[in-house]
Amino acid sequence: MATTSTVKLRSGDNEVFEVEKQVMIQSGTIRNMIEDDAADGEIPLQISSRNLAKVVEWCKCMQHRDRNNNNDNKEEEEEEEEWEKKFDEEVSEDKDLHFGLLLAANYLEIPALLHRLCQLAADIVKGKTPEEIRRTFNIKKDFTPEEEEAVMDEHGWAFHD
Amino acid sequence: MPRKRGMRGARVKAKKIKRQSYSHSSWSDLPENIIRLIMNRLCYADQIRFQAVCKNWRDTDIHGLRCADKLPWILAFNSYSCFLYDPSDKQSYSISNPSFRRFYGSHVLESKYGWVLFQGPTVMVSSRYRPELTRTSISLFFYCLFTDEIIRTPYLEIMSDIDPFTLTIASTFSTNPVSSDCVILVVRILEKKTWKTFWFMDAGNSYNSLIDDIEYLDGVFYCCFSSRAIGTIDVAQEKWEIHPHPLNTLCHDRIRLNFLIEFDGELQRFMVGPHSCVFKLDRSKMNWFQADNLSNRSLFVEDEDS
Repeated sequence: MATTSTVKLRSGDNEVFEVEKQVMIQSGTIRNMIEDDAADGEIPLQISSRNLAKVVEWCKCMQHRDRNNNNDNKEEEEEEEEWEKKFDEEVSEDKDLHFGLLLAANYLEIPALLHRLCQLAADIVKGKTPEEIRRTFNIKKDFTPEEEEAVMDEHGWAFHD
Repeated sequence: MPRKRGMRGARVKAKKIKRQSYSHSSWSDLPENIIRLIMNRLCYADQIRFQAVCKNWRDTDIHGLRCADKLPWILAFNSYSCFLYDPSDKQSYSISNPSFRRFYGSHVLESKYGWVLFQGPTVMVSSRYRPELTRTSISLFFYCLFTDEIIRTPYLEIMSDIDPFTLTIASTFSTNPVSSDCVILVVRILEKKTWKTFWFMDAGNSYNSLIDDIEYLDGVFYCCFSSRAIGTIDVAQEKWEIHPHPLNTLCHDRIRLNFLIEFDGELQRFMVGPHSCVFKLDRSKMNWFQADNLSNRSLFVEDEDS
């Protein structure tokens, strides 16, 4: 039986976050644990405290928004929009945070967050050449010259205007 | 299914994350499901560039992937190169490929499902015994630009005293040409790899009345005649019907283009002239009613003659 209304999440670097269950049930992984009565102690997660804090913050904001959906509070609505805009900007500028959150949202099964993060990634990729994408995400080109030539041969038209 | 798990369950899950987070340390190592989610949000050209970034992104299974392009692309061919224009990001691409020489003398009849239906060069031979008859061989083939594949169809042989070009001015096909039930309508129907001939009469008009356009929807080919009648061919029943209809006379004069388009399961007829107008087909009554707008869509019209 679930006895408390909160869950404790322990980050990879041993920081404990105590969050309302109502907030964390947005995560399919945590929801399963709560339903299985497996969430009464601390849940250890290999997610850094920085990323976990961001995930928790996001979940809180979304839950707050959903709860107030029927309220016509213009001020709060604007505040939430402002928060989401700031979140998008912060994530788009910090590639390590963006990457960490993608994996965290994927593991924790938070579809809305995962989709948001993928949209942000797609927005960054749009219109860039492969080399520009590599530079942006700090990716090493791991094709052999032959493989690269094959790529260009197949779809050369997409690489020059 | 009820599952009983104590804290052990949580530990098992935590172990899994450990492995996952340590094995993915760079953007190039993103799990495949995330790569696919990102690619689904890119337009086609961006998807190709995205896959050219690194091996892991390239090896992503792209089966069933969508792309974010909202408008149809525009394609233009000449004998040496092909031009692609993506209206959503106003980007144009030019593809030079020596193999485009095989399109010399061909022209595009229809484009659907990523395939272009070409009509190849036509060979006309006068019949030795009946000089008033001409035997015409028409080659039709499908080409997919993105995979450089060609699907050939058997030669279409026409023996008639009609100018063969009036018979093939419009054509369409029912399903993706790689599927076995694809039917091409070129006034004649391809079935079981041979051409099947349908002769038909336009209502109250001569039998070689021009067909302005053809479209396929839900098992039926719709032919739109210059005489304003509409003909339907039910593929399964091989049934041909003519539906004369009282079309708004306002639009009758000096129509330069008359064509059919399928939009979201509805057939729309566009008449372009001094007074352009759009009609939707009420398929239960086989009658047209005028549509006020294009449901917030744009249409790019090209007139081959101008």
